[in-house]
Amino acid sequence: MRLRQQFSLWLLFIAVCVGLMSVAWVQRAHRIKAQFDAFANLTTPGLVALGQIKASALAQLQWAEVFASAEGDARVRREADEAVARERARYLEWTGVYRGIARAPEEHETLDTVERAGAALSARSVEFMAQAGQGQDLAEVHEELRKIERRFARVVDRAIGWHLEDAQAQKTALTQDLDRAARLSLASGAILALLAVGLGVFMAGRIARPLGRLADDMRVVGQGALDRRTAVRSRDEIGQVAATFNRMAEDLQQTTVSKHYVDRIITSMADTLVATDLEGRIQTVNASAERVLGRRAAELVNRPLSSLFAPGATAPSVSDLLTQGTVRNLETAYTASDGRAVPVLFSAAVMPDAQGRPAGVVCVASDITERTKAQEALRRAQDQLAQSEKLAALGRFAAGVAHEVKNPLAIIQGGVEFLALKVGGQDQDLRETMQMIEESVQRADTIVRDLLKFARPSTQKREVVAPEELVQGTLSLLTYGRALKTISVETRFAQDGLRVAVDKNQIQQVLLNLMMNALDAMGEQGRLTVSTAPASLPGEQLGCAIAVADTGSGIAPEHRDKLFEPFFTTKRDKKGTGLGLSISKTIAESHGGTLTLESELGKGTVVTLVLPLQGGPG
Amino acid sequence: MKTDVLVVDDEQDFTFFVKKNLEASGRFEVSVCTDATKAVERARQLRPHVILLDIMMPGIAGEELAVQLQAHQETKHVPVVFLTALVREDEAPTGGSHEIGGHTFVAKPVKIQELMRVLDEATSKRPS
Ligand SMILES: Nc1ncnc2c1ncn2[C@@H]1O[C@H](COP(=O)(O)OP(=O)(O)OP(=O)(O)O)[C@@H](O)[C@H]1O
Ligand SMILES: [Mg+2]
Repeated sequence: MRLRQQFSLWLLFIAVCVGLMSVAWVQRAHRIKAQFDAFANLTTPGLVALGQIKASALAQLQWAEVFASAEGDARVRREADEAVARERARYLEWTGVYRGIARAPEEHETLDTVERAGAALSARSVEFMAQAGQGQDLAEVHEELRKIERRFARVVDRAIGWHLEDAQAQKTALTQDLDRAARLSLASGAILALLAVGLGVFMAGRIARPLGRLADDMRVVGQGALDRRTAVRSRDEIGQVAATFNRMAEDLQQTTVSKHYVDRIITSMADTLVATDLEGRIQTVNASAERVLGRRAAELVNRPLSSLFAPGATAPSVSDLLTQGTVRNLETAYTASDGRAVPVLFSAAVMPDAQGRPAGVVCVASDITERTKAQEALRRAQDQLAQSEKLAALGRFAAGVAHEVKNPLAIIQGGVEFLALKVGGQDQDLRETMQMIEESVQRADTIVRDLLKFARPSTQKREVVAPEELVQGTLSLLTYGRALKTISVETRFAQDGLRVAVDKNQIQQVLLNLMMNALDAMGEQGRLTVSTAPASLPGEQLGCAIAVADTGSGIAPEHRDKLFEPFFTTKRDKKGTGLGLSISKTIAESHGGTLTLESELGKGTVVTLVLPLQGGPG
Repeated sequence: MKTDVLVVDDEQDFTFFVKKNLEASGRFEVSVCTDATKAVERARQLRPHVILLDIMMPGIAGEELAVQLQAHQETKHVPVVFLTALVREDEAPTGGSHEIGGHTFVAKPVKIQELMRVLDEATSKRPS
């Protein structure tokens, strides 16, 4: 039942009680009024009548005495006579009245007694008046009248006394009734008040107790015991509140459970997740993001999204994201706490609120460091492949070019010699010109010959040699050929017994290239160090390293990538072709070896040729 | 006595200068054939002391010609010096010559002194 109905019922109940009690009081009041009326109607007129009776009777007697004593005065006698008659009439009237109101037998008895005494009194007064003229002893008559008077007065007084007693009795009864009524109404009022208070307390309890229990349950749920339900069950509003609360707790439990579930998903995501608000301030960061960025979530929250990106990396702005909507698989980089740039594949989307309005941006990024490394390696491999393909193509091209170039060169050569024959050696200028043409022919021929080395990899005639033999052979070529000038040469050979199976000519050509480069880099001053040492090759293969070190210019970092490319040279003015290192590398690799270069700008360069030891594969 | 040389090369200008330069020394008598397909024919007619043969020619390769020359009695014993624009580095340095399988290889461009030296050398082996 609804609380309003309950309250209405309680009020109705109290109203009925009050009504019933009022009826009882009214009835009692009516009874008292009736008693009072009886008292007023009976006792009071009786007393009045008795008083009149007494007064008129006594006045009659007195007037009779006046009559008797007014001897000879006719006027007085007449007046007295009239007064007696008047008083007698009054007496009769009031005895009539009294008879009219008399009810109780006592009253009739009283009336009889009074009438009897009155009649005696009247009779004696008439008798007295009649005898008055006959000269009777007045004193005697007088005496007798006094006696009659006293007797009557006694009777009437007794009647009055009785009436007074009756009135007293009735008054007492009335008072008692009134007292009782007062007590009754007090008691009933008190009972009613108690009833009202009791009911109030009861009703308050009925409301407050379940509310209190509900409040306790709410507190428990609020403290996180989401499976708690309230046991308050009633069909009033409190019951409805309790039922609603239980439903809400149910919902809360479910949404909270699903929130925990979603939280766990986010936490265990392999990819980084960062959510921002509309201003681009970071709000949420998952465990992967903490790991990749090397920072705790607390350090990241409220920082701008842009602070995550590495310097120079593409950093999509939140405002752009909000207008664009989505960014997918953007290759960019986050910056880790140690300053490292972490390459990531970045995707972001606008996150709507419950009303579908943009509330922020959710960014997911996968750490692609490994992938990038792999891609890098792949790219290098591809580059290498491309380079070797390039070289192969270049080689085929070179073969064609060589044929086309060498024939004209041969013609020029022949032509110059023919001219020399014709014009002879007299003309100095002509001789010098022809000398220059011949040198140019030689240079062009050298270039084409170098090119040809790609075209037809020569069949290697391998023989087993000691590396130091190769080095010494090359050094002697240098000594006899181009002057070593003031460069000092040092050789350091590793333990004896290392042997390599190589094409001596080719390897010496490589060493010659390397040493020439070293000499070029040093100019007039410096030290050329050629050393051999055991080394290892990729694939656990044992090898011998021949290192050519110089104290020359070193190589600028921006040149390092291009050194092994054909035709890369910084010596155009000194007639460098830029083929030395690329040919050397090709030869090294065709022997199953490697050619690597280390350089420090301004300090020098070490180029190391590693050849497989004899007996190994390749 | 002058050395008779047959130059077989499709490069007419080259043959012109070879002829002039060789003959200028007074020691050589040079005949030229610029059509490789007719080279064998010419050789059999001329019976030179030495044949200078370009390896890369349209129509027929120098090596092929050498084989054909071997097949004829008249030319069987005539030494052949190969001229080539594509001699390998390790086979013939510029201006130098190299022997492969009994034949001498000369790389183009070649200096006339070197050519004469090679020709002299080739003809000196000639059974006479
Ligand atoms: N030891 C070195 N010290 C400094 N720079 C070097 C050294 N070796 C090579 N280089 C640089 O590498 C470039 C390429 O060298 P490479 O031998 O391939 O060609 P090159 O020496 O220029 O010409 P060439 O074909 O005549 O050898 C050089 O021009 C030079 O700038
Ligand atoms: Mg070089």
